Amino acid sequence: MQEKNSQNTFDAIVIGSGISGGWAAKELCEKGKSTLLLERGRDVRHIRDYPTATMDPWEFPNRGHLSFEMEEKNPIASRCYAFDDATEHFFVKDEEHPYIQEKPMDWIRGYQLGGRSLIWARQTQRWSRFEFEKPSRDGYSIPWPIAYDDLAPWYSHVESFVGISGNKDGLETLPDGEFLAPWKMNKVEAEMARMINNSYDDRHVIIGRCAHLTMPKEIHTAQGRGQCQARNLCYRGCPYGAYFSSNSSTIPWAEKTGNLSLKTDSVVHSILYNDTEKRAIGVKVIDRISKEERHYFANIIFVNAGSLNSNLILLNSRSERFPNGLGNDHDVLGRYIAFHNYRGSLTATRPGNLDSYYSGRRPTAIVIPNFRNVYSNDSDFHGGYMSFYTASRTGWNREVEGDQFGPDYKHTLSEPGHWSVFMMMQGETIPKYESRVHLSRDQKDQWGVPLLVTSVDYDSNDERLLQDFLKQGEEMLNIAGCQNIQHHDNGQAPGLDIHIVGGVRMGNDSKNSMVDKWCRLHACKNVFVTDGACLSSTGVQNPSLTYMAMTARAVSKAIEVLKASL
Amino acid sequence: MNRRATIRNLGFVTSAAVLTPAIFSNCSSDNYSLQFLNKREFEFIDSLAEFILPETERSPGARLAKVANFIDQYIAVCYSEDQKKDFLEGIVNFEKRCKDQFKRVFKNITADQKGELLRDPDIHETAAYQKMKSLILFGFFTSQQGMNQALRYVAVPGGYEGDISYTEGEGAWAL
Repeated sequence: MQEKNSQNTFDAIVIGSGISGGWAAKELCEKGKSTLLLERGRDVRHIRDYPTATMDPWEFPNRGHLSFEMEEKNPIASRCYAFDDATEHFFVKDEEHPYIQEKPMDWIRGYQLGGRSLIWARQTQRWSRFEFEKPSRDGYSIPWPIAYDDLAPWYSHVESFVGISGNKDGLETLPDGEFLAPWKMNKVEAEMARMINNSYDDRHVIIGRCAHLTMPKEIHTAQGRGQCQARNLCYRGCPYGAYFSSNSSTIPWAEKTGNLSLKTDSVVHSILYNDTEKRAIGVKVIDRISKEERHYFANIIFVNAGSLNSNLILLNSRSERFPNGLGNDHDVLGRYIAFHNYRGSLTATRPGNLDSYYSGRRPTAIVIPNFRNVYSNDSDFHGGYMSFYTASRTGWNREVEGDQFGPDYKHTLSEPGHWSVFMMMQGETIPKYESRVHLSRDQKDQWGVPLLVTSVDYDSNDERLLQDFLKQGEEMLNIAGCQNIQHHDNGQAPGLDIHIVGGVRMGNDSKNSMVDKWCRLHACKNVFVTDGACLSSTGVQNPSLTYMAMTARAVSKAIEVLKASL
Repeated sequence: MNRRATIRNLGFVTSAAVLTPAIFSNCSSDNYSLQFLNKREFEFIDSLAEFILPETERSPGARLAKVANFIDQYIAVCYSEDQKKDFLEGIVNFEKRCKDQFKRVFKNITADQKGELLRDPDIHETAAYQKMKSLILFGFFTSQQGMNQALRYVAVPGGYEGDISYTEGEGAWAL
């Protein structure tokens, strides 16, 4: 073990610079705590390191498509909708970071400063009280030790800084937040919304809420960020800083305080636990390039490596006290992994409105908050789902009548076609004991870290929920005047949703949960896990906003702990 | 208004260029060297693409958009060996059919004869032809010319409007 010195000792260490780690670093630094932010990947600086951000489509030799070699070598990453010729530099390549799939799971990762906050889908909705109440009410998970009201002020705290566009809709199932101006629906989306709203008491159609600066405020311009230009090229990194990422926002903000030490290319091997002091004292890091081992020390450690990697680090943090992984006294660590069910979608056409068009590329969709099992478990499945839809006019790749060549053909394809509608689901899945990740006994990566083994699958609840979405979706599209409605089940593996949560789940009972209501390990109170790993249920919402709010709330507790330890 | 005028002017200038033998027979004029297709195969794709998406007063055609260059390099980089083999076989079969029927290769038959061939389900319903055609459309409508002159391309829209009136002839958004 290296000796502590002023160079390697900090008030706090944050493992991971993605969406939650960036928040941990910002909050700790603003409170005057010396903070070491560790990132396993390379440095990516806002704007400077977005090589494709302003390229036109024709400047890509394959017009955005992947080369055969890239696709052949990356079957997992290639399945992600955002992985293409313009963005591949922000995604982990399959062979660089192997893992073992006992059951199929697509693990999509971004190992660089900012992590996946550069390439996220940026949809941000608060959980409602039902997401906290339902899992134990309906018996599919342990009770949440926090309620909506505990998190609400922290939602406000992060929303104001991040910049969230949205409309105040006044819905109990999807609470309002601190919103910038909402995006608009196009004419057909708005017509459909009216028709659906008029037909149901329990279903509400609203414009999506997303982390885009529609009307930047002073707090955003102070971050050097500007207004969204509706280019919808976000996955390349935004030269306007219009969508929220660690790179454009929290990390430079933390750096400005003078309290941040940032080390990229630093692969965290494990957390160091001292059996005498009965607490975590630091982390063991392997240099990504030189493979040199280094130790860093701190009073507080935040684990924000991304759900599965946070599990991996804790599982690999073994000591005399914790032979099965840090804080894992009751075989809970790595278990109760859940994700979002994105399998179902519907396509349809909608006649008319050929004199109406839209301009710009809006970065969000139309949202129908969950309407299933809200006040009671009134369906043949547990959990719920949100639905999203968009309407747009078809383009040059549509089928047209007549000769498939010649001047008329070209002119027809140069015109916008009929309106088409796409609807998709985001469904809750049930966290189960047998849905787990664990460590390989014999295989390690090039940094000496055991490979992660994943064993997560769908169950019959997911099938019933999927069928319900398809049925209800069809009914709503019918009501909304659509035709040619078709069902699709993409059959995708868990993980491609990117919303993997759990493994270090939160609860009051240390026998069946890993962290307390402040995201602290029950058995090692100076370690906080505030990314998706700490969720004991998935919710129906896109999760990143909740990770950010949980993180800011946990830091407020960590500050108290640090004060007490002085 | 300006856009229309620009397109017409471009159309005028470029139709003269099309007649330049260098462009018609190979790519040496723009320093493009073939990566996958041979010269005959390239000429086939080039004439098929221009016949499907010809230059008109309204917008340039596939040849000006260098669709055949794109397809050549795209196949070289994005196709598996099997897909490459199928693609070449598709050209051979098409040209064989063309020669059986009209005694000439595709680029040398008349427009009417080309039309007759492409209306034949035995041609246009084959998987090989469908693949060629979809590559031609993709290559054209993602090219600088296709996106800016056949369609409308705005790199930085600045915002989103949900209900603007559309008049036929304005062109669909390129993105």
